[in-house]
Amino acid sequence: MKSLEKGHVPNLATILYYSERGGPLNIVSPWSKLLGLFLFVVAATIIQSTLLLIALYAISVLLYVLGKFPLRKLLGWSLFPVLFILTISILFICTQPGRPVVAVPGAFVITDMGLLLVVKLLLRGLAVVNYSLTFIMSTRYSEISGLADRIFPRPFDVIFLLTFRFVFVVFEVLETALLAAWARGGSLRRGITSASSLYAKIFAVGVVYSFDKAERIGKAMEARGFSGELRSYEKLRSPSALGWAILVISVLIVVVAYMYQGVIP
Amino acid sequence: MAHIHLPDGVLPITWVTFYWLVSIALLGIVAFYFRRTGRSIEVKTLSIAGAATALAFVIFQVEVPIFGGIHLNFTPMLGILVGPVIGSVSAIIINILSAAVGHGGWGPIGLNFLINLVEIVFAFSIFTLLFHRRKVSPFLAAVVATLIALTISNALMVGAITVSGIQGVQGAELQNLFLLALINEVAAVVESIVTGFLVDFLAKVKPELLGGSRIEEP
Amino acid sequence: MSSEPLLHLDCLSHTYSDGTVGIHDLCFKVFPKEIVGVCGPNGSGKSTLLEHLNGILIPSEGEIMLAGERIDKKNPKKLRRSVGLVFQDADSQLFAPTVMDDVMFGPINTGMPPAEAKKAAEWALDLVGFAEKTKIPHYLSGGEKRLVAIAGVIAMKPKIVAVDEPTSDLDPVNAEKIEKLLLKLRDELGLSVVISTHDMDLASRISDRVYILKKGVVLAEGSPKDLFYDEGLLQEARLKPPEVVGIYKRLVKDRVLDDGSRPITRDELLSLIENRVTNKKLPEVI
Repeated sequence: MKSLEKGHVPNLATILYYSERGGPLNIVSPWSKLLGLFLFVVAATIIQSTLLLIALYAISVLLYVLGKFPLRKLLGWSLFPVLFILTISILFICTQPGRPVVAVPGAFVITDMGLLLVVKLLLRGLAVVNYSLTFIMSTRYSEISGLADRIFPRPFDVIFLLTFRFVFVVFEVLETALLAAWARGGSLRRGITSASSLYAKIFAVGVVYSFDKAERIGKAMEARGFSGELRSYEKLRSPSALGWAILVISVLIVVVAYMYQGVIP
Repeated sequence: MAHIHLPDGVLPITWVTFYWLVSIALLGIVAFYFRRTGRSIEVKTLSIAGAATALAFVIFQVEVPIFGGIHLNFTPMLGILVGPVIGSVSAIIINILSAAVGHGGWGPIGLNFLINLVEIVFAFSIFTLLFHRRKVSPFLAAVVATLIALTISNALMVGAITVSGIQGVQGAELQNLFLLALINEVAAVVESIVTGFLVDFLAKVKPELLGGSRIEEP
Repeated sequence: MSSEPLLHLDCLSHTYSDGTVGIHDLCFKVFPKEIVGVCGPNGSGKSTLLEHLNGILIPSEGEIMLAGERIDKKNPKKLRRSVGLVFQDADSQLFAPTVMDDVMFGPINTGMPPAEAKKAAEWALDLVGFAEKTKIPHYLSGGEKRLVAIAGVIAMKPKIVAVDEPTSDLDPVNAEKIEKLLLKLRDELGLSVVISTHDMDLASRISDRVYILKKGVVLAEGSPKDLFYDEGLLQEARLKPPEVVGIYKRLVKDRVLDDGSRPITRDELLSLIENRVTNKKLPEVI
């Protein structure tokens, strides 16, 4: 999927490579990691203390490194989340009350609280992004399917599993179409109308192919007597005693941090 | 990006919970509809939903080289292709997959889903009205439907953020979110044009995907 | 061969919604423990026929009889349990997260409890010689996908296995693997196999009986020996004879071999040539 791979967009093939390779974090129960994700999201949302948010972010990076995943890729993948956060928060740098840090007379004044706001939003957002990526890169595809099968109600579980399957196929179709277009000078196109028209045709190829494929897969499912259930029979390991202990302690830490964050800057 | 994917930590926990509960309620209605009508075991429905969802997710990964690089949303196109029911299932799965790869947070999935749903419903309704009932050209119908859908969702998102507030921001006022709205709107225009070309292509090559009959070449 | 067919398609017709006639007034039988080849060019109705065998398509006219019982829209499940269908594009068939999940899919749908389905899946995968049960189907090679797709159907314990273009898009080694597997299904498991193919060499090597289709109609039915030496028939069907037939005819024309035996496989032809050489009967030089 080389042609579709951009440094700032996590590539499914790359993610799958790491998840199937097996690393130190693959031994952790997927349920533990999922509960950990929930904790991370809650912590990132409710904690207000800057120091605690830095600690949360540091833990997320530590976990990523523990999983033996490439830090360079993480930096690239963080670009989009950073852009999203900056787009929202950059406007408030100047409007937050506080001591001026950068002042352009007659134009704008950036305050310390404004800067702090941006930093805290970045820490919150990126902590969860890091953990999220660590989670999917350390959980095998069959375990993700197992989780989806057990959590989502019908027909969401079936559609989720089919989506996973289709994503591989659609990626390849679009990549082939893109390469074919670039091979004939498609990448030289400039201008909104010209580029839009080209990419629209490429996406249309994807649409037509995907829907044809869906029809064929539908037939194949019917041919094997599909009755509404598409199950994953992967056995999902329950959290170990240590896993439970870590989870409980983490919950306590989050609760205590939330309750006493007034005393921590 | 055609619209901002809100990351975690932006919205307060109460609003995160609220949007999630509303989303779950709506999805519950969809699940009930599927079961009631028997569509939960309709193979064609399920496989099309899977394909459409995968398409939307993958298309988002493709960078369209306009204004330095834009990533399209595809949710209005989803609405045009599969309608609001399957579209809603696709939207929630796309949001979950996107959150998994860091495009948007897990907490804001509730709000992101509601915004996507608005895009899907409006794109579907306006396109149906223009293309199927008023016989407007597929290109124009798709452009108008997509632009209106994304503009409305843009306004809704700005409104939702204003109402919910942003954590740590004192007095998040509407004018402060102007830049956000502007970026979204520029991307919406590009996405409308791409969607227009896409639908026009499909109308000629595979009109049954749009629920219509083949358009004869002059 | 038993005189009662396992499956009998009687005067079947199917017209698609866009008006294309898929098959017309087609009669087709499958007897126990045989391999039936369905040959024809692209668009002759081979895939349409196969999809009727499994009940994916319901005929516009005609009857489908399974062991004497009439099958219609109300009871396609019986057909699905008895006739397994392997699609030409194996990629379309494999949609579960792992190989094991995919092969278990069919047995579960037939009502097998998960534990039994797992055993059936393991048995089927062993039979086809594929060991990596936790692999992601998308990342399998073409040959592996075909093997797993066949395993997914065999695991349902059908009486008939229908395979659409079994060796298309495969390299020679994988094609041979599939061919041997199809023979195994007949000889060791006692199943009937229906293959649709335009590979005449394959059809000649493994089929007990052959149907030749053209534009949705059966042009002829019989043994490979009878049909593949009929030049006029093959021309009408726009098919090329198997290579062995061409070589044999050339050798007969050059009076290297006598007319009459009509070998249909390479081994038969080689045997004839070896006999000729051993008997030292040299051709007359004109």
